[in-house]
This record gives sequence, C-alpha cells and structure tokens, in this order.
Amino acid sequence: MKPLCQSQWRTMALGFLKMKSAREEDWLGLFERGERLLFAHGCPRFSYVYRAFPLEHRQDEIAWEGSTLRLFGTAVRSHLQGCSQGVLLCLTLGQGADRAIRKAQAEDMALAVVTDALASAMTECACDEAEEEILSLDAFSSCGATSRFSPGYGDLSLSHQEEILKVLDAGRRLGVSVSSGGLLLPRKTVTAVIGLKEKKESRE
Amino acid sequence: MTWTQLINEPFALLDGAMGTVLQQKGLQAGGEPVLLSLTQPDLVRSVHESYVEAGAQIVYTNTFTANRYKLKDASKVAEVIPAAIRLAKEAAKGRALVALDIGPIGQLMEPTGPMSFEEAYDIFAQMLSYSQGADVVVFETFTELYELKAALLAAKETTDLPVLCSMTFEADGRTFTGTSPMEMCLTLEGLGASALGINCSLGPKELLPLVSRLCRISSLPVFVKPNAGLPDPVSGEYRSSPEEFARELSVLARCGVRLFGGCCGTTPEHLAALKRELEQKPSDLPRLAEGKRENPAVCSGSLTVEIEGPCIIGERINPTGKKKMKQALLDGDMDYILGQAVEQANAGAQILDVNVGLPGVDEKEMMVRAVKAIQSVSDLPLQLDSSSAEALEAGLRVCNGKAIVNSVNGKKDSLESVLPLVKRYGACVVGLTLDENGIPPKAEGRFAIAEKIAGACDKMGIPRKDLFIDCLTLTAATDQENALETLKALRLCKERLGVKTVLGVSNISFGLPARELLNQSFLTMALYAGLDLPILNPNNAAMAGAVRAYRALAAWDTDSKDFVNCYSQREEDSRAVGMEEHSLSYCLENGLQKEAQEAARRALARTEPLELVNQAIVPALDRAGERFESGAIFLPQLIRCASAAQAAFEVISEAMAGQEQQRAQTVVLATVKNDIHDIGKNIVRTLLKNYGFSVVDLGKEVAPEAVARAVEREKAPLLGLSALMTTTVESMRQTVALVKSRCPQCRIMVGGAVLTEEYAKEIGADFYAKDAKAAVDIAKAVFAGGNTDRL
Repeated sequence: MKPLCQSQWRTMALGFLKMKSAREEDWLGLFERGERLLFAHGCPRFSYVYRAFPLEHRQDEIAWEGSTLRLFGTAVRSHLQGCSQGVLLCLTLGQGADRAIRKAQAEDMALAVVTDALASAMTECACDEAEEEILSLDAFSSCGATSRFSPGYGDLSLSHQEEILKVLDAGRRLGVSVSSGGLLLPRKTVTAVIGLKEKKESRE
Repeated sequence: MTWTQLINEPFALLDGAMGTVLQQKGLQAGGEPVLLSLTQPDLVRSVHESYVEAGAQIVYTNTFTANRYKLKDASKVAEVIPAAIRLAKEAAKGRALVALDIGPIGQLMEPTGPMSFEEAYDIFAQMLSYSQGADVVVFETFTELYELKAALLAAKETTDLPVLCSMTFEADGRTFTGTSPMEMCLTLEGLGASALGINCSLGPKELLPLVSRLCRISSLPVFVKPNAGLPDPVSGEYRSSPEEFARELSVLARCGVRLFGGCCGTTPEHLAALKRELEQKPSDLPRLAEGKRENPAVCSGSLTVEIEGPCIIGERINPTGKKKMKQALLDGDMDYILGQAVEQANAGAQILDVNVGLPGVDEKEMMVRAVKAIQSVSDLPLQLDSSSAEALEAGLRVCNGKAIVNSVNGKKDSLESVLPLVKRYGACVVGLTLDENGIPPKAEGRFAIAEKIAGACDKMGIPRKDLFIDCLTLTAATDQENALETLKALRLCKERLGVKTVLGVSNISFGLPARELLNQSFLTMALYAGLDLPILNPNNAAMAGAVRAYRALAAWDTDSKDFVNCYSQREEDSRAVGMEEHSLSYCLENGLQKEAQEAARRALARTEPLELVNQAIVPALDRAGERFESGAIFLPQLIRCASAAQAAFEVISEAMAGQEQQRAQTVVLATVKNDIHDIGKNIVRTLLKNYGFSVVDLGKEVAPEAVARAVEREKAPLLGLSALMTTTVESMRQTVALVKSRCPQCRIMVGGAVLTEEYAKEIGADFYAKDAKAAVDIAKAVFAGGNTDRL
C-alpha cells in the first residue's frame, strides 16, 4: 500500500479550514507543528477492515446476505441500485489522533484547530487508499464500483453504525466503537459502503 | 485440580473458541452468542464438552459480552451469567476448572470515549457479583489498560477468586491504545493479578516476539490463546490447520508460557492437536525465572519510565507559592493545569508531580479531576503528592498505570495510613526521612528512619524496588553542614538499602543570594552522590541543564546525543531571533504572545493601564475580527491574536491591582447530552476567554438539568450550547426549554455544524452562532446590552 501523500492531505486540510486562499506564510508554521504532533502519535498509519456480501434489494431495505445488516433509506437504495454485491468498510486513524488533538488543545488552540483538520484530511486520504487497494483485489477487479457512501449521507441514518461495526467485528479488530449519539470513536474513524456490479461498457 | 495445582504442572490447557464453533453450527456474523446459554443451552454445553474431551483443563464460560452495556439490559446479566456458569460446570463434571470469562465492555473509555472509569468498574462489579460457582475469573481481549484496571479492581474487591488478565496486541507490539506488555505487567502485577496473558489478534507464529517479551518481564505465570492464524480478508475465515496451530504454539512453550489455548478460529481439533504436541516433551518446558526486571519502573498507560540514570520529576503542578496555580485550582480551571503539564513534558520532565491541596478546594475531588485530565493529554507517569490519604486513594484508583505516592514518612500514623494504599494499588512510594521527632540533623539519623520505612514496606509486601527515599534538603544558611549531611544520607540509603533516591533541592539556598547558582550546584553534587529522581521545574534552564549536563558527563546519555541535539538547536535559535522591539499593536496584530507581554510592560511605563486597554488592545482585537470576517485572515490567526491580547491583558491587569477586580461577564458553555464532540466548543471557550469573558465550561455530554443548574448557580446572562450530531439536536431543544423556564433572563446561543439559523429559532434559542467569532460577537452584544437585532 502506498504511503499517504502529504500534499494531498494538506490541500484537503486547507479546504476543511476554509483556508484555501491562505498563503503559506498565513499557516504560521502550524501545519508543520500539527503534523509533527500527529506523527508522534502514530499518524498517518491507519487500519481498516472490510467484508463483501451479496446484496438483496427488498422493497424497503437492502439486506446484506449472510449477516444481520439491513440498510434503510432512499438515498442508499438509489446509490446501490443495480449492485449485486457490496463492500462494507471501516477505517480508523486510531486513538493516537485523538490524543494528539487533545494535547494540541492544551498547548495552543490555533494548533488544535489545524491538527484536527489535518487528521480529518489524513482519514479521507486513507479511505481513498483503502478503497483502491480493496477494489484492485482479484475478487473485485472485474466489477464496476460505486463511490463510497456513509451513514450520515442523505437519509442513511447514523443508527446503522452499531450494526455495521458488529458485522465487521470492528470493535475487536480495530478498537472502534460508537457512542450513544451515533459518533464513531476514536474520532477519526469512517464507515462506508461501496456497491459492486458486473462491469458495464460505460463506468458510472 | 485447583488453580494452584494447575499452575505447578509443566503445562495446562485452556479451551478454544466458542464463537467459531457456534458459527460453524450456523450462528450468523453479528449474532449474539451469550444469549444462547438461555435459548440453546444444550448447544452451549456440548461445545464445552467437546473441549473438555479434547483435553481442556480450564473452560471459559460463554459470557464474553454478558455486560449490561452490550446486553442493553441489566437484568439479562443476572440471567445469562449464572446459566453460563452452570452449563460449563455440567460439561466439565469436575474434570476441568470453570473460568468466568469477561471481555471488554465494548465502549471506549474516557477521555476518547464516553465511558468513565467509575461506570466501567460498576459494570464489571455487577458481572462479578454473579461469579458463584466459578473457580477463576479471566479478563481477555482487552486493549485498554485503563479498562482492565477497572475490571481487575472490581474483581479484587468483589471476589476472592484468582484473576487472570489477558490483553490483545497488534503486530507492532502495542494495543490500540499504545499499551505494551511492559505497562501491562507493571500495572497488573501491582494490582494483584494471578496470571498475565496475551490472546487473539494474531496467530501463534506472529505472537512469538510479544510472548517472549512478556515471559522475560513477568513474575506471574503467563498464558496464551492465539488465533488460528490470520483471517482470510474476503471470507473472514481462519486458515491454520490444527496441526500447524499446535506446532507453532508449542514453540511458545520454550519461552516459559504455562497455560495454552486458542482464540478465534480454533476448535476442539486444534486443542487436541495442541495436547498431543505438548505432551511429547513436557520436561523441556522451562519455568519462568524468578525476580526479573532489575530496574525500578513506573508507567502510564502507554509509556514506561525505567529509573536508570537521573529522571526528572516536574514540580509545577503544585499550588505552594504559585499564585496562578492557586487561582486555577480555586476556579477549577483545568486549562491552566493542562497547559503546565504539557509545558513540563515538552521541557523534558519524565514524571509529573500532581499536588492539588489547597484550603477552599475539595482535594479528593480535585485530585480525581486533575489526574484524569492530565493523563488525557500527557503520557508521562504521575506522582501523586498529598498529605491526605483519602485524596491519595482517590487519585490512585483513577490513575492509569503505575504511579508514585508522594509521600510516606517515619511517623506511625503515616506508615499505617499510606502504606496499605501503596500495596493495594501497586504503586511506588517516596519515603521521607522524618518522624515524630522531626528531621534528624545527621545522616545516620535519616538513614535510621529510611531503614524503618523499608522494614515497614517489607512487612507490607511492598517490593524494595518500589521504595524511593527522600533524605530532605535543609537550608545551608542555617547550618552549613546541611548540604553534605543530606548527600551522605543519600549515599547511605542507596548503598545499604538498595533504594532509588528522590530530592527537591531548592531549600538549600533559602536566605542566601544567587539562589539559582546554589541550587544548580547542589543538584549537580546530589546527582554525583547518586540522586535518581530530582524534583524540579524543567522549564528552568539552569536546573534542567544541570541534569542534562550530568547525563552527558556520566555517560547516561550515549554519545551525548541528547545534549548535542538540545543545545546546538538552541544556539541556532538564539542567533536567529533578533532582539527587535515591536509596538504593542504590532505584536497583537501578528499574534506574538510573549512579545505582546513585553511590549505591554514597556508601554505601561508611559501609559495608564485602562488607556492601554482601550487604545491598543480593544482596537487590535476589533481589527482582527474585521479581517477574519473579510477573509483576510483565518481562524488560527484570529485565535493567535486573541491569545496575544489575553497575554497582554494579564500583564496590564496586574498593573491595575489596586482596582476592583470585577467578576467578569460570565458565559456558561456546554456540549449537550449524547454528544461528545468538543473541539468546537473548546475553540469558542478559548476565544471568549481571550476577549475577556469569564467562561464556565460544563464539558461534554451534559444533561439538560445540569445545564439549568449551572446557569442558575452562576446567574449567567448567556449560555452557549454546541452539538455536532443530528441525533443530539433534540437534547438541545430540551435543554433550551428547561433553561428558559428556570432562568428566563438567560439568553441562549447555539452553534455546531449541524445547526442552521432556522433550526436555532425552531428550538427556541435566541441566537445562532455560525462560527467561533460569531459567538464572541453575540457575547459582546449581550453584555453591552446593545442592539442584538443584527445578529
């Protein structure tokens, strides 16, 4: 797996901070400091788990066969339309990122803001990497794939998180859990579904 | 056979996976195995039977997730656990011991997650209250040492059964939370575990380096339950055959492992194969060597500090003689305390002393808050400093890792109240060489007290290496012999008692000029005499420097690498920094905090304080605000400007000391119930404080009632609520309604990514703050009694 690209996560972080028009002098050396803090806590190392399931499109839900997972909501049904299989993914930057952000808050709030954005950006870049790696496996490389779709998008309720983590055994395998409010923990954690279909001539 | 007999055998067999066998028989991925003890008892019993028949001498009950969080129902716990124990006993028929199997609760511990130490303890205690019939307790697959500590304490305080503790590690040798076998060992041995183990995560081959490490450092029996190899990423199935598994696992026997079993993917066939393999040459299996780990050590959840060569204990978290710290404790201002913790860590402290004793402060409650807060931002081991046994115990309970207790002394009272705590919580302890007669003037007198303390520790079963002696520094000005007597005592204790030594040196120079010079010199003398743990301010360049220099010259710092790194950088830095003097306005606009303080001091020489505030600080803040709104600067810079303004303001307000320090305008902040996101709220808090408001931050996940009470208590004119999740906006609505009914004068502003202007109106809030700056503008308008229509 390729290591994550620093310029990619920096660009993304600038977007999160609404600082796209900022010049490098405006960054106040905070990006370097934030990265050093994150690196000292294990970032951008990430881990993920995934499983593939055949999908059954029923009237009101999408069932992931062989598991207890059912997805409800029009947005996800439309996203997974025509997909015979689905990949369920959970990825995390780990608790180190949370610790780095807390430490930054104790030191300098400006640093904390930047560190948080950098960590979110690293998580997104990691998801791109993980997706690429999964889809290049023999089992999936001849399939067409949708983009990633996560609970919280459209009407795909956050209440699905608990079930997704259970099915993936993400608690044991990644140390991830979900709070009563639907927040994934550690904070820089993402779950997503990717739909797979027989490859057609024109890609979606 | 009993547990004691079992661990004296050359090897003993645990069982294999329950979940795997159940899944083979049709249980779906994501299904809940523990309920099968109620719905399909015969199935569960038969799994146990097949393991006993394959040779298992300890079977784990089917209770891994039988806690009230996972089962969502406390009464289910009362049904499931006794049923599971009964089934295991029925299957074992006396041929095997029954272990009450308890896994992690399934929720992350504070501060990353919402579960408090106390709640975790409670959940485990509940499970353990149904342990009748079990022969031992086993905690397995833990990744969070803090959670395992809660579990082990609950077990020791609820039952008399032996307690086996097993953690699961990643390939890099640490758990998800950064704990290595060393922290696990140091912490759990002290708390009274009966055996230490590693399970799950990896297969036997991959576990070899970890297991071998644990065997080298543990003085307790070691047990392992690896997975049947690594899972197939697509199907999730485990691939190791019984013979392969058995062969690889029996290699670990040579490290000194005593008990063997299997985790995910293993079956009775795997266990039978393992039994055959181990029976082939039982006499080859080594015993664990006695008394490993020569060096005393302390740790946090993720960092071990071995006391080998001088280790700095940072002294700054202590109110004695520190006005700002006193104020912070009285205000409950964790920000200041955390700032001090991080600053000391960055300056080179290796252990942090925590002293929160002050009249007007509930020391027990504050100790718990401070320990939890500090260990959330720092991974340094802690030294709990208090003369209250109650505060010490409270701190020891919630401290993650192995801490130091500061202190016990030669008085009967002290020995009797402090040493039992040290023993119960597995801490190290600093012994002060004073007793009912005071501090002996001569070294031999202090040594005698040290010897007495050491004897008391021996009687209590506290290992000698967990005792550190402080021979106490007296003032050279009152008796010039004092310096050498302390050093003589230090040497005596070290040589004759085999203990490490602690010392704070600054008393030596009291009453003499050039105190720092004397302190630094005495410190160096003490280091040469064998001082291991100097207590000092690591931010003080002279003192920290003395330690670094000593480390380099005494060859603790190999090739003087640290010394060179530290000081060649500093020389560069001091050459680079110009000694320009900028105006206060310049410093504020550019967010230069230290320079702003300097500039403020200089400006006070020619300007009245209030004038300075109105002519320089307020306009600079206003300008920064405008530039932020227009997109010329961004949030980090705004925060910096505001921090610089705050720093300058502190200097100026000291100058205004004759004038009445008004209780500034108070804003209460909270993140609502079920929402634990808090960086957004923290940014608002920082900005509000920097703009001069007084902020009472209730934290995260705050229930409506607690918010209302706080607003009432503070008589706050403004409340700020934040929520990140769509799921928690309902909590926000309830909170707004409750506060409005109880405190109609309080205005409420709401913010957070998920909210909008419309929604804010709908839930009854007065204002919507789209970002941190808007929150400040709202506060300014509310307190000015000005026109809030524009907002």
